[in-house]
Amino acid sequence: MQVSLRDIRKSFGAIEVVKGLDLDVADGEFLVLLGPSGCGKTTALRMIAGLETASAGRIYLGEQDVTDVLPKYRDIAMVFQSYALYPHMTVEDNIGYPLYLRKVDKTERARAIREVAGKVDLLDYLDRYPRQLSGGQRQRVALARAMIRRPSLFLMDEPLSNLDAKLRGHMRTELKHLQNELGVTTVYVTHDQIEAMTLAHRVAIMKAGELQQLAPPREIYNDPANLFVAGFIGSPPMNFMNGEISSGAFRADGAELTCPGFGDHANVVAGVRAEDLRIVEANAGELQGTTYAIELTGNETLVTCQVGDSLVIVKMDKDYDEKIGTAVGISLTNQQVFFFDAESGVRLRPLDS
Amino acid sequence: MSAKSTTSSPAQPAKSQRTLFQRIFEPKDIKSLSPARLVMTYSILIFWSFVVLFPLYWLLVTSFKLPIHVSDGPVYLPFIDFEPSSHAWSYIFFDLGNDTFRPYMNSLIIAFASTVLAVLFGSMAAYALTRITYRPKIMSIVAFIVILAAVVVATIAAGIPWQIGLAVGAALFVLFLLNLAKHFKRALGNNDILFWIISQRILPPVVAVLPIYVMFQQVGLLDTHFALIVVYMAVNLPIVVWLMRDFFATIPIDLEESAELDGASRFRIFLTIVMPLAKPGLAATFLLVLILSWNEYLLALFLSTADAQTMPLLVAAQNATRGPQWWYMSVLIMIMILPVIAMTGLLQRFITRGLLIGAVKG
Amino acid sequence: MSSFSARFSEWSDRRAPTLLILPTVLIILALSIYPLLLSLYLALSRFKLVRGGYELKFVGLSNFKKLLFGSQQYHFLGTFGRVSFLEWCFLALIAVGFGLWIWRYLRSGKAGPFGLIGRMITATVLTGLVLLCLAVLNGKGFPGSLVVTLFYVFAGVSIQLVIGLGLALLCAQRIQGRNFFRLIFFIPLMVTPVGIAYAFRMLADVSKGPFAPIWQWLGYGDFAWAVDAWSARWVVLIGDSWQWIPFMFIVLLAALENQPGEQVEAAKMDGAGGWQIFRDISWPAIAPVVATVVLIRLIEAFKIVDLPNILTNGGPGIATESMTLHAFIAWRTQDLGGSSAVGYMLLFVTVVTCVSFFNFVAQKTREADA
Repeated sequence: MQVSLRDIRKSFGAIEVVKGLDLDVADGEFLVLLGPSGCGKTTALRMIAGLETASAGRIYLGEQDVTDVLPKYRDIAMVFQSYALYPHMTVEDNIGYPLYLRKVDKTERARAIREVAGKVDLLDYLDRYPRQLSGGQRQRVALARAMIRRPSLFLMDEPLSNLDAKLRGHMRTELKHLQNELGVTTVYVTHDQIEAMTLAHRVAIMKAGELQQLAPPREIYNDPANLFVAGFIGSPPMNFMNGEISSGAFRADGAELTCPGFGDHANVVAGVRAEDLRIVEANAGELQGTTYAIELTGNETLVTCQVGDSLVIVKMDKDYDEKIGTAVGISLTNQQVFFFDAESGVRLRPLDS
Repeated sequence: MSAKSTTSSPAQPAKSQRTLFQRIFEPKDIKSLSPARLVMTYSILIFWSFVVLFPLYWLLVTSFKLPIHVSDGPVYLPFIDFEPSSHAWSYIFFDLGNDTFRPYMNSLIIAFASTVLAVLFGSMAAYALTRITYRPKIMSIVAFIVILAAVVVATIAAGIPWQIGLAVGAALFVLFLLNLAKHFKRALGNNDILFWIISQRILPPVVAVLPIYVMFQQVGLLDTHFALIVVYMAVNLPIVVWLMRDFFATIPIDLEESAELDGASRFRIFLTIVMPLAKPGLAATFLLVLILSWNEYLLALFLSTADAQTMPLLVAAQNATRGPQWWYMSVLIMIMILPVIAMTGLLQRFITRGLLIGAVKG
Repeated sequence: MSSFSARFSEWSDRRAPTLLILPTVLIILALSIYPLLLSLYLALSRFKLVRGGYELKFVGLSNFKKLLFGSQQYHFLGTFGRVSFLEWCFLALIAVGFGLWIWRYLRSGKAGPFGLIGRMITATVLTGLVLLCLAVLNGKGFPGSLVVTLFYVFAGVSIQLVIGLGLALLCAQRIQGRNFFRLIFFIPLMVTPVGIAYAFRMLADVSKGPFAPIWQWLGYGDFAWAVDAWSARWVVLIGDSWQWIPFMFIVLLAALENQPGEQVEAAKMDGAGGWQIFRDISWPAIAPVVATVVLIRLIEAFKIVDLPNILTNGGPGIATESMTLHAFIAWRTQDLGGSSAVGYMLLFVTVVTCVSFFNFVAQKTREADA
């Protein structure tokens, strides 16, 4: 089902946490709301669910305006960060509870429970209680409970954040597979950019209650709309240098990059990703600096260099090694440099395009 | 001063070298107490155990005494000081028979019924006050009090039948709510309602019981189970609300929101999610209120005379009818407090928790 | 039919906020608020049995006048003795103390009209009660039910707090058998007050009670405590304390066990002794709990009736009569107006005491804690 938010606002007292959100989620789409904590993404999700009332704006599910409809009539299933499993019910009763509420008869219910439990590998655990399960199993119970009544919309509020790193990777894969198989529209809230990049058809990045960019993951990565998006997406984070653009070149302390087509601009932040840089001989390359720290992460080496008064991270292969404090040059391997206005954070683009 | 400096100096003597003074008044290590302190602690605690247990022991042995064992001065130890006799027990159980059992059954029925109702209604209110925001208008409350006062004056002073007075009052108030209330803005919040409910406990029962006596007399409910059940329920409601509120607040709201999205109604959430999760708190509150109702004396004194007489009244009545026939009284008291003490022993953790929820958290 | 049940469940869900709280509100309105108003009316009337029923006659404040100045003054306030010069000085000292307290409040810059009025009521009522106590407790004076109730409340709560706290401190140490003592000490709280009253009547009997040999050895063999006003009051107070010390004990023990052990260990490392640890660490940590239990006990202690009624029947004379018992006795003699008036006086004293304690003592400890 299609979901549309029209200029949604939410205030708690004098504080406005969602400041006019417009969002369209296509039928069957997996949309991720991404942002740092306190950016209003969870509040937005809860307004879609009906657990918070919107201070202003309209919410549509399909053609229907549901802004003032009680949550139970919205046909939405939600997976909570805490999973919200009922501790006094067995796994079977937990999964079957939505059907029990709909007065589905016992045999039909048991059949449906076995079917979804099979999908999430829980058949052997049906008569256990939540406290007897591991974190990953609880997570799957919560998923099964959301799936069992085939809702028209899934909402997920950081469902993977209570799992350890390894399990999280596994569940991410499972989740993507299940969503693809069921084809149910899903809105997913997270602060983890990897989750957003891997799961989403489209990512909506929010900051302080405002939408920053809404685009497929690749586009977000390759063409960030502003300084915030550029800095939030990518690991290690994008390197930033403060400088100025004059006569077709960006200049900062220890750096000079040509940027044909850009107009003159006094206060500019240049951003370049670590994988677009290479360490070269001192005095060669566009940037000049000294090595500051060298970290081997396994399949690659992160070399942090001091360039002027900023630190620039360069991704090298795993065999690279150098003494700390050595003077080096850094060159761009391709021309992937982004320029932003330092005050507003707005992306600067070549004049002719 | 010198003694102190030696004790706190880092070069404390090894255990074997400690002086007699140190061995008595200083602990061996930081985890234990000094012998002197240990002896003092245990003497006081054991003395207090004696203070607590002796009156109960005395009731127990007295219930097995013959009149002669009492009137000739105290005897202490059964089988040694005196030969115990079960005459008092058989008198109370067999000779008096129904005169004992009826009040006992009355007490059981009234205590259980009033406790069930108080816990049910009190839990509902406590849950509502933790999860739902109320904004009662101040003017509505003022209007209500004015109308209520008018009804009181009209029924008593002007002699209007109370049914008519009540109906007219209710109608006036509903009219006010529907037509005038929307013009007023100032309102109270949940905490004010909570405070209002809990503060009812300050009201001395003797203030309320006289009018209740008059009210029940008019509708012919004096000396019935019903009268005592509703009155006990009313006096214990504030306790239930106070204790249960903190319990409900500890239940994660996620559970309820999840059930709400799955399509459960408020009442279903309350009955199938919230109440099962609050079981420990419910048990504690239930036991506490049950014991309070079981032991209650003053209200029963006013509101029951014969048919609905409860155990405390029966025990108290021994004063007048039997003078100092302590052996019978002891039996009656024993059968009243033994179940409670047994329950206390078995469920002490529960009951204590009930007491603690409110008090420690404030 | 099913559509009806569906409509009903829909309706009940929408009205759930009201339906959940309505029973409690209605019960309290019907059995607390309405009786309270009716009781006020009764207190202002004279009740008379007439043929086929009764008659209420509005008599204004005369029931209260009777209690405070008239024929029932001896019963309610007591018989006044002469207040000595020294006692006047003591009273003046208290009045000056309250004056300073209000003065400091006015100077604090946070003063408001409600705070000022509240403090003035507290100061006036408490000073008045102290004067009353001084007047009836000396020489030829004899206390009435108001002062006797105050004695039960203030002496009782103080004794219960001190002993309860002491036992809790002993039990909170690292000792074996803590749970055993906790269980034993808890029992009296659950025993019916009526039973306690009889048990203590037996125990206090100097010729047939268990301590009779001791009394005889001390030469009190024929002393009748029930005939002496003060010994009778103390027996009532001891019975009441026996029941309520466990309450203080169990709550304070829990509070002591709740305090973070690391703070105590840190203080031990710094070389603090037992008393210093109590004063500087334990007491500040449990003070809000102490304030709460004292408040609960104040509220409940004002209602005392079972023990004096059964232990001593209010006697000798009116010596052990609490206000609730006074109201009950008035009711038994068909004086419904007088009974309600006593009830209202009790309500007034209770509310002033408890609200003062809550606002001016309990809240302070909580602010300090936060």
